[in-house]
Amino acid sequence: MSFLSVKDLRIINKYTKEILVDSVNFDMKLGSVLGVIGESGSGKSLTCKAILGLLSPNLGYSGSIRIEGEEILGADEESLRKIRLKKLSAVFQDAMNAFDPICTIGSQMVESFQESMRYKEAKNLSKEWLEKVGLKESERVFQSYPHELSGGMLQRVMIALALARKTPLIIADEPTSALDVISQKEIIKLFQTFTDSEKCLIFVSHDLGVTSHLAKNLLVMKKGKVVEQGVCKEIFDAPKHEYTNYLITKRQELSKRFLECFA
Amino acid sequence: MLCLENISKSYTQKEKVLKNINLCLPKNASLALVGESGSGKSTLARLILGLEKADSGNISIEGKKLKEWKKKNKGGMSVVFQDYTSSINPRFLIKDILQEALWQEKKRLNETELKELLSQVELSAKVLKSYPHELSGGQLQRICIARSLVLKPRLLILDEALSSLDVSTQAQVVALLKRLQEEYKMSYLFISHDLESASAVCDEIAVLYEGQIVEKFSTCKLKDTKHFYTKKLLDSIMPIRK
Amino acid sequence: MNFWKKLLKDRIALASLGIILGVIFLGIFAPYIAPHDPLAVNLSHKFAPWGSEYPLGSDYLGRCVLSRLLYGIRTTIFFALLAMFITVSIGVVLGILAGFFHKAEGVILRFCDIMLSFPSELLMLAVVGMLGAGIVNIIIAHVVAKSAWYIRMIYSYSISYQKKPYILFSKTCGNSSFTIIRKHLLPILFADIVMLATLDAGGVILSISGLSFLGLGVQPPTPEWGMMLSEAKNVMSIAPMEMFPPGFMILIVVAAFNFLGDSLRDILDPQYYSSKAKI
Repeated sequence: MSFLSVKDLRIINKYTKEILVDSVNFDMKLGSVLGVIGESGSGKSLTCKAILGLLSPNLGYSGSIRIEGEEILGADEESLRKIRLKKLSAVFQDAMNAFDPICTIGSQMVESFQESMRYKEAKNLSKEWLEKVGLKESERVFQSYPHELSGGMLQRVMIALALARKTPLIIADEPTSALDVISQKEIIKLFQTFTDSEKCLIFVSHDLGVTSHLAKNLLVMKKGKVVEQGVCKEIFDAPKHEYTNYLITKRQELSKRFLECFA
Repeated sequence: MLCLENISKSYTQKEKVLKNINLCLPKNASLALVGESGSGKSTLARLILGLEKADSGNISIEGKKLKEWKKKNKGGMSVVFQDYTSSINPRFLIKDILQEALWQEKKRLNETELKELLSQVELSAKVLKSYPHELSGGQLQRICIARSLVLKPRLLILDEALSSLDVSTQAQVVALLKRLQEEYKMSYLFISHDLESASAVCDEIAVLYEGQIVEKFSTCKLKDTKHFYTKKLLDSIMPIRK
Repeated sequence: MNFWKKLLKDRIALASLGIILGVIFLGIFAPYIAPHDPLAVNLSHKFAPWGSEYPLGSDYLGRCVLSRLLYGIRTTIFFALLAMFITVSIGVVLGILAGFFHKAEGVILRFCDIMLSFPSELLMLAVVGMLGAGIVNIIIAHVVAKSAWYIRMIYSYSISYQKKPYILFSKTCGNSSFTIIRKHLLPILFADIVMLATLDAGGVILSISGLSFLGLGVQPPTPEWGMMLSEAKNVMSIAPMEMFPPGFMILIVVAAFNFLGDSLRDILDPQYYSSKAKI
């Protein structure tokens, strides 16, 4: 039985009638990692927002998104809140703007946990996960304000938050796009370490290189439609759709000289 | 072409952003300056462009001091920034944006010249009548490149010019940049945090770490690098894993 | 969506703009619309009730209130707009100079610091006290008291816009500061200036009316809303209705400017509309 089931998802702009996402279908079981790749404007982030129940009110939708059988699309705010609490976590691209600039990191982390535990427990949990994601000076980070930390560190805090909540589904929407390569590699390693059989991860990116290191299954999107989907390795070895081939070729063009000189 | 001698710069009393930088870029060559965010790369770009003054040291272009050279060579040096959305005035039409370099001389490019310029960056003349927000990231960055070519610069500084683009667009812009370098005989200073795109565009790479140039080598000698930071950068690259 | 489309969609902004333009229109055509001469004294008809001859009644000297109200638009609103125009112009010129030229920055900002340390109403009273009563002196007082605020606001805008990469590119091209100001900065600042001015317009009208109310502004018999209020307060026990026409007009016009300024600020803020309308 799949944990997440998306059927015939369609998202349109109510005012311009433009179809933004068309007929997206996929299932995910616990323990899988789905990479969603495509260029800007392909509908990847919208699909994620739909799963999180965060579509703006000017967008119309049809189809079905079920998490463990519970329908997300069209659900009321209270049910969505309960689902998000127990089953969903998100890591977004722009960590620098995802935190409230006037509150300390610690207070924001604790705020996320305080639904289900006391302050002291929440603080210990936060610090424990800050250490696990590689922020060794957890006390200092806990007391810092967002502007005192770098982009890479803030992204790790977001991941710590997502992982500490122990939700089965984690959605990461371009979590490394705003980071430099060294931080990017470390974040990918974190995801690799912490994705296990109890969790499923949706990883959205425009970079095939990064995705190929993490994803087991792949969803290729172009202009709102899924052009190819399947097992990551199979697709990279023998892409069926010309667009997938185009993306792979372009990515390889970029790496060509590097691999020539380095290999 | 460009020579930096003992350049140092600091913004606060405590820390120097750039410490005794010595760098030379020959004519018609391409040099990549690679380092992480906060290492001082963009500060160096601003110093070379003359937008800020160094605390100590000399910058000379084609043998002359920067200030002198700039006065006599308007447009000899140009720049393409990372953020294409804020690199263009959102209220201007594309055809007016391309004229900017000629404002001071009160000249204008005619239709034919504009079309010629756009074809150099592989864009159709249709975009002339558009506003920036109507174009994609890749198209906007090409406009920025076209705009910087108007006065036929001999030195082009690319300050993380590829970092905000989709990977597939990056590949296209890299090919474009290589072609333009041949045609316009420019020298490139390519600033980046990514060795992969740096090696795709440039023949020489200098690594900036904590305000100092720790290593400089030619791209084909990538595997012989010694400094731990360079090795860390190399290790972080993730090409498609088969 | 461009500016005008957004403005047309905002009903409050549209209504406010309509009221302001309507009032200005009435002021311009006052001689053709007003039923009586605003200065014509007619003691036999003093405190006339609201009727067909005197639509809004007459005051303690028998002068037609409606006519005085219409002619008063010219005094209150037009002089307020004039005062604002002068203040904003000084603000823009000095603000941009301070933002662009480092040497001027120190001098101009210190001057602003000094002026801003006085409460503006007090400063206006002091200036009028020194120069004497009269509408010209009120305008001078307003300019003296409020310029510093505009200079500071425009300065902070021009500093923030200066950091943008397209300005840096312009400098790299070798464009002079004046060219950059003229071609890039002024068109962008225009939107911010209109917003600041509309938000402040209400305050200017209140200042002028307020000073006239205190007898320091326009001198009788020139019709002016603040002064009409002052005259009405004297006869409050006998004819309480006298306060309403001028008071109501001040309220409506100031509120219209405030709502318009509010809406303009929202319309000109790119993020407000992107959060409402975009994906």
